[in-house]
Amino acid sequence: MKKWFPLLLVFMAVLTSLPGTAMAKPPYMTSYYDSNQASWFRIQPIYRPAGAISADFGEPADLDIAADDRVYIADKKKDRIAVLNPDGTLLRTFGDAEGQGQLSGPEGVYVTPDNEVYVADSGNQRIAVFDGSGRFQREYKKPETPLLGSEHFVPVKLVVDRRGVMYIQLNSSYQGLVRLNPKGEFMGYFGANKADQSMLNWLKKLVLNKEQLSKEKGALPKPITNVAIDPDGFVYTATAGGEGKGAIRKLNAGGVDAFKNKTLVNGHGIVDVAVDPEGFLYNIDLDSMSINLYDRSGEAMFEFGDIDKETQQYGVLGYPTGIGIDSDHAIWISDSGTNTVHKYVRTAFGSSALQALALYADGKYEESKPYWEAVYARNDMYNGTFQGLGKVFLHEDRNDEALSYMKAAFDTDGYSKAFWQIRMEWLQRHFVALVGGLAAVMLAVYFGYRLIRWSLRRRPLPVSWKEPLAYIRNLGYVLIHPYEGFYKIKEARIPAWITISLLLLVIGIKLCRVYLTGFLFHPVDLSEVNLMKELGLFALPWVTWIIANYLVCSIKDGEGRFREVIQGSVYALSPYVFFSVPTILLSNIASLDEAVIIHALNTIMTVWLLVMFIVMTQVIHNFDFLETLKNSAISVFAILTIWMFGFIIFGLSYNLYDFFYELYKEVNIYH
Amino acid sequence: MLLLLVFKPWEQTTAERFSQTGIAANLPTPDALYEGDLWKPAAGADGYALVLENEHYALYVRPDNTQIAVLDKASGYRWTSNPIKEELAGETVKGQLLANLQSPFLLTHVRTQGADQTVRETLSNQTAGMQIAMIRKPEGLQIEYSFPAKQLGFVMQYELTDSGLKVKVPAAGIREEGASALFSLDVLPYFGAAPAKENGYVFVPDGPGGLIRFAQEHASLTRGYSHQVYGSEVTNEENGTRTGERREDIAYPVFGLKKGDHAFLAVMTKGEDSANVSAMAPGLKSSFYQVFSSQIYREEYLYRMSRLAAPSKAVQKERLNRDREVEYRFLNGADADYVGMAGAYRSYLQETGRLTEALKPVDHVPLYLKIMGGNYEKAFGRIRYVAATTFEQAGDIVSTLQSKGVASLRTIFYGWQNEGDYNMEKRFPIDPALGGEAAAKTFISAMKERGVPVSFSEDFLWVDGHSSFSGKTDAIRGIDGTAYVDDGWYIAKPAYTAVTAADTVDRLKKLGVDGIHFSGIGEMLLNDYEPSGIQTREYAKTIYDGLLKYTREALGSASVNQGDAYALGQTDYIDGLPSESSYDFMIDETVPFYPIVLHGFVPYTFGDGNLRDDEDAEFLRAIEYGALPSFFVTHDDSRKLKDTPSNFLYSSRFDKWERRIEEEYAKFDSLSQLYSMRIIGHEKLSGQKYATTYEDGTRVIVDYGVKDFTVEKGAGK
Repeated sequence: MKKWFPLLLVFMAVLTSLPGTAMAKPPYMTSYYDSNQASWFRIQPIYRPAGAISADFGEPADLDIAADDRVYIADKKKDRIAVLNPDGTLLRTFGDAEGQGQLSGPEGVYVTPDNEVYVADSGNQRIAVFDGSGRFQREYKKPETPLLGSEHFVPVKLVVDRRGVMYIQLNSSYQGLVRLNPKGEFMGYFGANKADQSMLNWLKKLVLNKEQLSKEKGALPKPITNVAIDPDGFVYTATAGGEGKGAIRKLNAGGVDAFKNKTLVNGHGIVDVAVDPEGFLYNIDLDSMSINLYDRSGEAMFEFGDIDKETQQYGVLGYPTGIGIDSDHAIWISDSGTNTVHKYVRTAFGSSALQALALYADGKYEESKPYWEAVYARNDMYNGTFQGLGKVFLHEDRNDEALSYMKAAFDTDGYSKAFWQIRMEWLQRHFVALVGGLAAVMLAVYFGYRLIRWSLRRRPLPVSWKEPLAYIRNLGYVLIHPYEGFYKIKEARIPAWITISLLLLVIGIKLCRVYLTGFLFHPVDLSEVNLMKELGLFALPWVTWIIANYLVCSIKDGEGRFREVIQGSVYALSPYVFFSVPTILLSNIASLDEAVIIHALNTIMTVWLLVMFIVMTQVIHNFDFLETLKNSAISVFAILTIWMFGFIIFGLSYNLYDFFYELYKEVNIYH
Repeated sequence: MLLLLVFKPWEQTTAERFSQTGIAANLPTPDALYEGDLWKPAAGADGYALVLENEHYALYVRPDNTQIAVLDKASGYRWTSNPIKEELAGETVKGQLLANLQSPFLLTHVRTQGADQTVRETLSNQTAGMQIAMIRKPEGLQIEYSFPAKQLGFVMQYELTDSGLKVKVPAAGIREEGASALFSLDVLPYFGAAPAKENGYVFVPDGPGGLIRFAQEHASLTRGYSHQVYGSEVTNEENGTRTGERREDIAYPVFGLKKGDHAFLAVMTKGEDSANVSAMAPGLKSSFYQVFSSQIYREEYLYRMSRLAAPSKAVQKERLNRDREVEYRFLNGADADYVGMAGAYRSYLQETGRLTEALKPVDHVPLYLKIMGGNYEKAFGRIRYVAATTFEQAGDIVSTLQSKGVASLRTIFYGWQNEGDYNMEKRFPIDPALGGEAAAKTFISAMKERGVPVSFSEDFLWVDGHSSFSGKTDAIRGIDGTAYVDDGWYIAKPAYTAVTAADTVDRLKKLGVDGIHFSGIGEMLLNDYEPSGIQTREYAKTIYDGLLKYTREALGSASVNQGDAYALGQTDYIDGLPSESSYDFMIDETVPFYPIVLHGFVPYTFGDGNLRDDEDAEFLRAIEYGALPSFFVTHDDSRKLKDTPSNFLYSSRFDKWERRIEEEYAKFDSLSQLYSMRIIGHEKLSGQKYATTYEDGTRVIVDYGVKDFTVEKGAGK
């Protein structure tokens, strides 16, 4: 069943083609993004291709959809604007007749709610304005202002806000959008991207002198690729090439980015962005070669479509240039690769899912319920449903169901809320029993302890047990009295079985932390935990510490022998043992509101562990305090060196292994 | 003892298994060349000379340039291999393209010596220095073309049949004597070519059938429709320049053209699996619509010197030495449309014994119920089988459906293999999580009592690296001669597939299973590039044919996915028959050509009712195209399978779908009297209304606008 096998690759962001083509359906894959797990999963189509419209285009360079759902396309090569009816038939073209309104290589078009058509008339270096029927109205040339200086006024994309203010992107200008008021006066630059503050630039600044720096090519901000505006007046800029950082920015009138320069999933090669009536964002991305849907905060939701420069199929884009959404949520994309406009419409499933998500985003959980149920009827693998229905259940006070749904969706916030409710109800119902139970436990512990002591006094343990017991009890003692504790074990020959049992205890605690920590503080599918990797990553620093510490300190005249370093390092783990138990217990009864306790416990534990290792080094090697700090730092450096060597050796030997393995396969399997 | 272990006498050789099961490679005898005196005819006034004629047709040839013409005596219409002079008058292309327009073939060749051996050059009848030798026989005309400059030569033969023209390119006639090698050969590329203004269309085998209308404007076409029959070589997919085109493979080797009141249907009758169906619209190669078969003799592939170096392009050395044959059948008047073409193809299949008996009438149509047992996932660092439907639960599902009025049922059980799809070679014992062999036996015998046949589904082609399979001896090899492996998955050689499948059949027979549903076999066909010589797709076809036959004899039934035409005759049911187009710019309309061919002979289903992308439209499509109902269910939530390879089952929990199955079954069952009938008509009534007519005159009218269908009872029967 190989044809099913590729479906396993759900975790891959880039979905490759199926080897067989058994499943026809749309000529592309659809997947949804699970932000809780930060990965893509396959899902049935939410949009299907509804045709590619060819109205004798020369080179469709941009597209905008008017309030009446007519589609305006800037045709760069044919020097005109084409207007399509909502059904895709050609209504009219304008701008190619001789006269004042004649366009030259227009690259951008925007239609206002009153059906005024603003065209970025790139070749004529102006903005041309037409009325709804294509009659030329007026033009805006380069504004008279020293600020624009010698820059050429070559507008490529633009939007216009309610007041008639134009936001214009000039050809490859990195200074942001030029703002012109309705009179054509310059109102300043708007929404420039931030300059790239890369590590390399930082290093350059650090190393190079002023003269050298001035010779370096300045780190210029990326030019804005495309721009859109929503009914509330927010301006959205699309910027390609920034590794997704600030790929879509949502700017208010003051130019402040509501997305805070957020890194967009699938936005490395963004071409254009559009907003639908619900506030969801749509982009086309040349890098992931897909059309993507985002929620209002720019969080990825769905990905579909494909880009192939040799495409001969509806729905597969050649070279997309602009995207627009009509009031029926149909997506229109101008494509200069095939000289067509592609149209995609929502499937029934896609409608339900996006409707549910929109209501969910509005906080209308009750209203979203039937839509979620419709989605669930067609797909019980989509995690969004579990999150959405979980919210509904939370509102209906069906907390147990909410809890299990939130867990299925890995939604820790929702889970925490449901958990809080359940815990509260439980407390209200069982408060007396809880107090009684706690009291009983405390009494039992107290009397149990006394009973054991009493019985020990009556029948003391054999003498041979005394020493090992003392070593074991020292694990607790060393926690509070590290200096004395470590002195006790210094030069002591602790039997190997005790050291090993203590180590096993630590590993046992680690296992408990992996498998018994509450879901909220370890939100993973436990069956997918790679235990060997977890343990390896846990043990590796400890083991390298022992080696590094011993090597460094024996050179630096430390007294500690290898055995003592091991013993000490085992005992130094004592905070891990004693802090983990309450942390694990608490993690199972705390909600995210009390997360601070858990985090505090973990922080204290980490600091304590550090202190323990330092004290251990000091005591075992009999250093003074400063020496200890110095040598510990050197040990840490040695650890890093060991890892680097390990990494290099592993890499090289893996290459060697791979070479021989391939050779073996070549000889044995392929030929 | 050691000797026993070395020779393993209990293991049988492939040859022994073949002779036991009757599976054999029955390769056809090669076509012979004509021998005799050269024929040197004199041309008539129109430039043509009569070659031969039968009751219905007369064949003419132009002695000067070997263009041919066929006169259809019934209609008086003359089909020509190339546009006639008057038609060429308005042609705008020049040079080589104009020369090509006048040739009955286009030969593409590559160099076998020198620098760039992947550069393709074309030869036509306009190539200077070409020599022709014609031989006329009572059965036909043979034209031998030779190009002394390139030391290349080949032979075309034309024969008349009762229904049209047969064109042959015998393998025996190909001569490669110099530094040039035959790459591909377009056979009659402009036969019947029509200018844009004509009334008519080109028919191509896209999905269930695709029309390219002459009157339609087509969005930016940079390449025509050109796709290999039964799909391209999977082992050579790396060589594709595309980023991953997803489309339906061609399932049946035909193409056609309708021009006014006349039409032809061409059936690729020999070597079809190594040919492209090519259709071009005006503006690509000429100002004509054309459709033809382009015969593949060699393929370009990626050759790797070492694993680290970038691969370089090369052309395969050994020629696909197969006889090629295309049969043109001519249609007139009312028959000159896609329904008539489907009828012509059906006649061809009946004449050749691929469609034999019509289905017997039934009181109720069968519901094809697919049940997913489960599959494996990786959990806690090991492989774990996740059961979604045990045999017991499967039994409950069937009895629930029967009690709710689903009168006829056939089940296909998936995921029964030990550990599911993990270690494909280890199938037995049937996974204990489902109840093991005992539960399987109980389930099957309970189903027998209820009159419900049980098939088991299995894929014998793809084998994973976790099994004991030897890639070296048993895997299909790519053009570079190495075993093909994709992500740890091999494709088994046909002989290996046949032997393991036959063994599985024997095991399952003991459990009482009624049939095998093969995935892979009806949907994927490959050449095996063994260093000792290519085992062609033809070889694979005959082995698969034998396997299907053996399965039917041993168990009672065999069925396949997709239903590629080579499986016809040996399959009792086709699942996932192509029902949708591949969204090509060029294709204007999708028509039920293949369903019309098959209806009344082979039962077929489209996508499963619970896995549709568009619930209503796909249901109506099934009604319109005469398909049967199918659903793919599990007892438990399919979410259980989300980390398994079966995670395509988005929603399959039976109790979620129970009502929908009942309702949909009732609608399909209302058409039960049509089950065994042929479709004789199909038309588009208006924007969203389509009518399908059956042989007794019953019309099923499907309206996608109101999402419903009506039945107009016919007069007959």
